[in-house]
Amino acid sequence: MGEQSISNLFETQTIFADHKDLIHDVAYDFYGERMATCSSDQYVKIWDTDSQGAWRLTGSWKAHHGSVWKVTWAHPEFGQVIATCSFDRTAAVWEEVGDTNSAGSEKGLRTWVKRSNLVDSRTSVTDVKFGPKHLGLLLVTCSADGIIRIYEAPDVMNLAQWTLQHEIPTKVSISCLSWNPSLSKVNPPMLAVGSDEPNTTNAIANVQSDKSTACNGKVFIYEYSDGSRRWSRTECLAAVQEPVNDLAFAPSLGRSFHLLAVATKDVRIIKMEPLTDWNNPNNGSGARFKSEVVAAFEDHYSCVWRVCWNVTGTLLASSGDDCCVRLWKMQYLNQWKCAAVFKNESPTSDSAHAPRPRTAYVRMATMANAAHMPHH
Amino acid sequence: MSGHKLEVIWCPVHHDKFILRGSDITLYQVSRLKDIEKKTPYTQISPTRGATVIASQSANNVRCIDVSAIPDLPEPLLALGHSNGRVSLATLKQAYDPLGLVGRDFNTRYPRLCNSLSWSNNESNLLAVAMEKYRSEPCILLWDVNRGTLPPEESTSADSSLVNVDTVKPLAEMGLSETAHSVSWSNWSNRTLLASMNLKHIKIFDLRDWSNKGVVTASGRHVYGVCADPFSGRNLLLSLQRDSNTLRLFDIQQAHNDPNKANVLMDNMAEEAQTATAVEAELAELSRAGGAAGAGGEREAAAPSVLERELAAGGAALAAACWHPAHPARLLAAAHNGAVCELTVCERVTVSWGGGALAWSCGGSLRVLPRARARGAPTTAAGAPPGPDHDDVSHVMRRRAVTDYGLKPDLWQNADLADDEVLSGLWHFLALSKSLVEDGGGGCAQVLGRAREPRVRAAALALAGLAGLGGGGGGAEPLWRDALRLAAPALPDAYLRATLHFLAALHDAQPQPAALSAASLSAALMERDMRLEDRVALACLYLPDDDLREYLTATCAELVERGDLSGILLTGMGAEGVRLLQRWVERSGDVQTAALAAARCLPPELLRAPPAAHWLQEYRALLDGWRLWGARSALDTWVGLGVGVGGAGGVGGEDGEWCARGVSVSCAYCGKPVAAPPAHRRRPRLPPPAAKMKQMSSCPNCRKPLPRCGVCSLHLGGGGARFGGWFSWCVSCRHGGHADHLLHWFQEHTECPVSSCTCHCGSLDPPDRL
Repeated sequence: MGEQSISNLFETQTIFADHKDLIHDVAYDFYGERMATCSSDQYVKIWDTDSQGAWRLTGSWKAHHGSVWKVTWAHPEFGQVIATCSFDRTAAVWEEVGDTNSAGSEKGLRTWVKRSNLVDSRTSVTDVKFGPKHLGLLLVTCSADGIIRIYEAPDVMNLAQWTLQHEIPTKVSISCLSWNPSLSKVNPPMLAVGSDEPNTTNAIANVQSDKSTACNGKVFIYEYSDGSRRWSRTECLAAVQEPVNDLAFAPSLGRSFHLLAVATKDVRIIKMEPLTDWNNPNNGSGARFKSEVVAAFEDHYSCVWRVCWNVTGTLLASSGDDCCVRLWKMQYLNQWKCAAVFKNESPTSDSAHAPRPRTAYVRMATMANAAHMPHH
Repeated sequence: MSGHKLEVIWCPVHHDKFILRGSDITLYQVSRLKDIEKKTPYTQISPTRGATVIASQSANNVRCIDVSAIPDLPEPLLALGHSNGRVSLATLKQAYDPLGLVGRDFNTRYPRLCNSLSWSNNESNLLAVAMEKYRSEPCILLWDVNRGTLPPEESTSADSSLVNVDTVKPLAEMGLSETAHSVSWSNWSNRTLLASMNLKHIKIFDLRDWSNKGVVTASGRHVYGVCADPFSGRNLLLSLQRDSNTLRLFDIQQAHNDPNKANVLMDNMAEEAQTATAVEAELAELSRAGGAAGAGGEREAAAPSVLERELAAGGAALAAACWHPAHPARLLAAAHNGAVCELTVCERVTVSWGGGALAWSCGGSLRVLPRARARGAPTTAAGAPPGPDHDDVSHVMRRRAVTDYGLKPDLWQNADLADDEVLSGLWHFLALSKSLVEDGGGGCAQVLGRAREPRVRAAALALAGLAGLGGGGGGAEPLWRDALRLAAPALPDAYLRATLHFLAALHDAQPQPAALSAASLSAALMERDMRLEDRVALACLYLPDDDLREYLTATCAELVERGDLSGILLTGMGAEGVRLLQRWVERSGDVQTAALAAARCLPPELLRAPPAAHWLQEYRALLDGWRLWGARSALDTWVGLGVGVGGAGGVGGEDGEWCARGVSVSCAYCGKPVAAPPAHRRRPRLPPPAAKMKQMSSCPNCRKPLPRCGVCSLHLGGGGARFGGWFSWCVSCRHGGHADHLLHWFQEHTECPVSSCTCHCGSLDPPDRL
């Protein structure tokens, strides 16, 4: 653990997580000092930094009976709490407690106890996120059958009790969601969800037959209205037509608009400006936002898996099928540019002797030779 | 079911060779593009690799092929299953044949279609053949290629078949009067053969003892193909259900090698690769242990969870695919049009930011890129390594926040901390305009005349001034003027350019040099590189009033639109200034400067209004995330001062974000606060709390004693105004003490320090997370 390896310019630390299977999610806590990982081996692991900055495993337990897709931290004001969601159709809330039975010397031992198991979903729970803290202790899950569920813990000291506040059916398979983190009172609570429904003719027909959703985009914006006390779909981003693997709102940082990064076939950054007169009947389209694709990057070849914003929303990290992690940086005048590429590759990847867990190959592009491609 | 069904197979021994079977059987050699000799025709299968044809032969009558795993063969040895049931061994390229296997034939008694062939990997001389049903004949034959000997020269014509049957007997015969669709050797134990039979059974033959063959039969509907997981220790078995195109994965280790409903790990409604007609052919990949994908059949499988991946394989529909025998996640795919390409399946990399550090998954491990350290940090000799956020605004803001940027008592002190010319200009302006307001006059010239490189600009402007005065004598040749105008853009320095423009304008306005028009001066005034102060000064000096107003309005609007901080000079810290700062935030992401400038200089009503209040909230959240509590409380103090100036006691604002105190300690007897909040501070009968605290051990109102510390047994309130001496208590058992005593206590205990109290205060709220 903590073995240092130098990649050409940046110094990365490698942690041997010892997960027996693919790691599906890594999440930092609010301070960036703890890390949670989850994997297909059904385990969740917690990592802490020590004073030297090295990562130390402090918790590891079998959390689910299926692949654990996502893990997320609650704001520390609610304690050390994480939520996980899994292929086993449940989401769970875990809290770290000191071991009350141990004597003084073993006091450092901490364990994570399951406070609640949310079993409402009938299919795999694909994403789970805690809401922004000013809304209270909220948890939202989404599942492959397209139902978004919003839970609330009415008593933040009692994490065993979660009431299902809202259930929003969407009719399409939902793969990811993101809260709008804006602290501004101007914006109502807002969620973006992305669908990974494949673009078969069937799906399009389904969507079109549904009158209420005339748009066949894959990203939907839901907003909570205080008046009607319910969540309603206020926007469907027509700019994204391909299945969405991940999306993330940028930290709002006092901007007057929202930035949404979407991982589909490419990395997309969408700027959404709230229109002030959207309730005005004169506003013909009835649109809630003026949305605009400010950047679309094809560099990940055909598929982007994850997108993640830094704390100020000025750097975007993305990962994709080319096995690279790329950083995108905002330049002057909202221009976005690639700032760095980290290749997940050991230098000897072309030889068969590369150590297995460290080896990764770049997906090669397709072939082209006249002899074997008669149609070209 | 014609012979044109495509198939690709990697050679298990020769890792750089593969067989493509279509109407011909072709052996390819894969090598890097740069290793391929010039003029050799090759097929590029990936950006770095190409495949050259080694040999080819017609696939007439060949129903199925498999490549032997016999080691040390110079060329791949193929077993060809023919449509009359004959199985022959062949190499495509003539080479020395040490074992004399090439050309051997194995025949059945009755000709029928050969459905599937499988070489054993463990005992490489074993070859299993699956055939169609014929009366009561067995449909699975097992041959030992070493024993079933026929000299090559005799195995020539069709008439040999009857002869050979008598001389060469298969090692084992199974499946009487049944049809076998596919056979496959398992990898979990020796001589275990899997077969799909009669479209409805999976049979597992245990062949370790030839005389006593164990058979396990499992029935399923429309089982078409079956194969075993080649890698993992778990006994995984994958079957393809033909009716629904379902892939079914069994874990048969737990159930005594009995694949039944109980241990179906998963059913995957996968479109079969061969039937995919989409432009992008589909290929399902079921991920495997360790993240580094291994190979299994056409799909990879392991844990009960399934990841389905689609890979784009050229532009044509995919016909066949094969995993590389040695390299993980390497895949060869053939399209219907005969194109072959090599793909590599990457794991899904997850990525996450945390406090400026970046982490992503890589195989079974994690890579962490620590955040950029402060410049000049002594950690590394060769300068701090750049973090992912290096020179990003988040890093810059954090660095500034550590230095108490924006929080210094005098505004101009912040300018030096900013380490940025634009920002320091802003703070200097704020400081000067504040002093202007406070001193009440005379500072205007000072504000406008403040210059960073006084010599260059003074010279430039002096030159301009001199030329303006003495221009009368210089003569007004248009040539001279044009020369000036043309020379201007070539100059690197904005001030010199402006000077030339100005001179030209002066010549234009020769008769009355005092009244220059905006039009003639515009070139000089639009020099963007010139400091705004100087442009405005120039305009003030030379423009007539109407033009000046127009110029200032236009410039101001433009600066606000661009979010140029120097525009504060024109807008001031008012509503217009807030708009400008908003643009600045959106442009640069520097919410810090906006929040701090607002906290220090905005009038209270604007500070409480949305944009400014929003900046403050966001900046507070940032400070919280960086654990810069000192900076945060100093910010709140400034905000409290800023808001408190106008609005007396009700500093809460509607959202209560800056209530004067969140917590106050009050006496348990009289209910009065022990330390007075600042709103009451001016009341004469209460002395300032900090001074009082030093000797305070009882309530200042009712003189009842304050509670004692659970650790040192002294009265609380005696520790002075330090944090460590302040009250702290458990919300559960209400016992408490001095904060630093309690921190110390709970480093070693979980129980309450008060004897006879069994409350586990320490575990309720972990102090090491503080």
